[in-house]
Amino acid sequence: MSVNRYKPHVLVLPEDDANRQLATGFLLHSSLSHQQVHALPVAGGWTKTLDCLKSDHVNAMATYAK
Amino acid sequence: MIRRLYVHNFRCLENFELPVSGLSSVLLIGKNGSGKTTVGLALELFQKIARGTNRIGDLLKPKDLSRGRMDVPVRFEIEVELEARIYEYVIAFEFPAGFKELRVLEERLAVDHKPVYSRNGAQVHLAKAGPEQEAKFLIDWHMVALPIVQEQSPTDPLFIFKHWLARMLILRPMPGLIAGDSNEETLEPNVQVTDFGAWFSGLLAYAPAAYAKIDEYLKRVMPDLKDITNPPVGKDSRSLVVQFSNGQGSLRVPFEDLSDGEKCFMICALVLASNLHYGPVLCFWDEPGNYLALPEVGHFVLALRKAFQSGGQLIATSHNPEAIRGFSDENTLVLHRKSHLEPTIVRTLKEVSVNGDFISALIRGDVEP
Repeated sequence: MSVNRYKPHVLVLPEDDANRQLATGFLLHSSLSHQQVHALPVAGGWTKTLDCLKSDHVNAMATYAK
Repeated sequence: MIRRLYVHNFRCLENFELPVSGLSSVLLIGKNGSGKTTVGLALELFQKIARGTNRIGDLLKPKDLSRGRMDVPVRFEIEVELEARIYEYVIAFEFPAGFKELRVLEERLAVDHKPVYSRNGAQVHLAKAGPEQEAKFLIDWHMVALPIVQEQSPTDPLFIFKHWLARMLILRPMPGLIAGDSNEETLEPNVQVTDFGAWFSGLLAYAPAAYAKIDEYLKRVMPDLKDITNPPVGKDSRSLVVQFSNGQGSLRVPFEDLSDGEKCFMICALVLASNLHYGPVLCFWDEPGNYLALPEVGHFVLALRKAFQSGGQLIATSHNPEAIRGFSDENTLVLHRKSHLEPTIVRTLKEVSVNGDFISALIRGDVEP
């Protein structure tokens, strides 16, 4: 199931493909519930990561209490 | 777990070896026509043999020879590790001039490098096992010996290997054709999973506790699921009904009326439960991301990968970026053909140089070994 945005969840925004693969390995850990974490597409560099965070996620995060 | 799969002169696979040893889950990517599904067809041949098909005409046609090359044998070799023992099964076919059907050239099964039986042409040679003598017998050249050779008991390596092959899950689901009806039970679903109802019945008859795993997974992906029932609808037939409920009420939906994606969740639940209760199994799923909503694909693939980490093996193919992102360079294999006249080559993604973002490179068609 996709993450339930109204429950505590984590969105991972990988800077590059190496970080994306690290996130994938992390999500495969047996004690982790991968339903509460979603790895997003690779941003493609630190500047783009920050831009994406500001444009797509900061406002959305502000709408949640936690 | 497969240690080695070798295929020669079968469709686009020539001198082809799939490097999946030691990998609990593997993704095959490549352009259309690169040979991903053909790998599944090669596995399906082993599965059909173990499920009892022994007439070669029902397994392989002359048109399956690579570019119609009649003078070269077709060869399939599989090496599997099960319960710390190594099983090697080899079968090769030839198509002599004037024949209408292929015939067996060579066939052998070995366990821990010791032969169980071997065959040259029509002559089958059973190796000595215990006090009894070696045995030889003749078999029609157009028949495969594996389904015929009798196993002694459920602990016989031959029994273990045949059951493992027969219970491989090779899936190319067609949800529109899955109605949820059944008039029998099976642990060996067909490729399109049109016998889902029989698989569900067979799994629960074999291991009633499997319902707990099915229920656990399905309630995660469909939180309003209440239960699944399989009531009789005739003298010998049953039909699955899925019940949903929340604080406002409940709804009973015949299985056939579920959406295509929801039917794929159901199939996934059965794969997870099968691997847990009658596994470890090999699951080859051709494009598991098909029919699923975009936010579901990554979680779906991760659920499968996670389940096979503790036993069994998953081989998936995909064109879906979200599914592809669920794998790493080490367990992503790129299949490629330069043209329809050339054979498939395979490389791990870490052996392929990619400029910039990998998914963008795939979209541009720039990922070539």
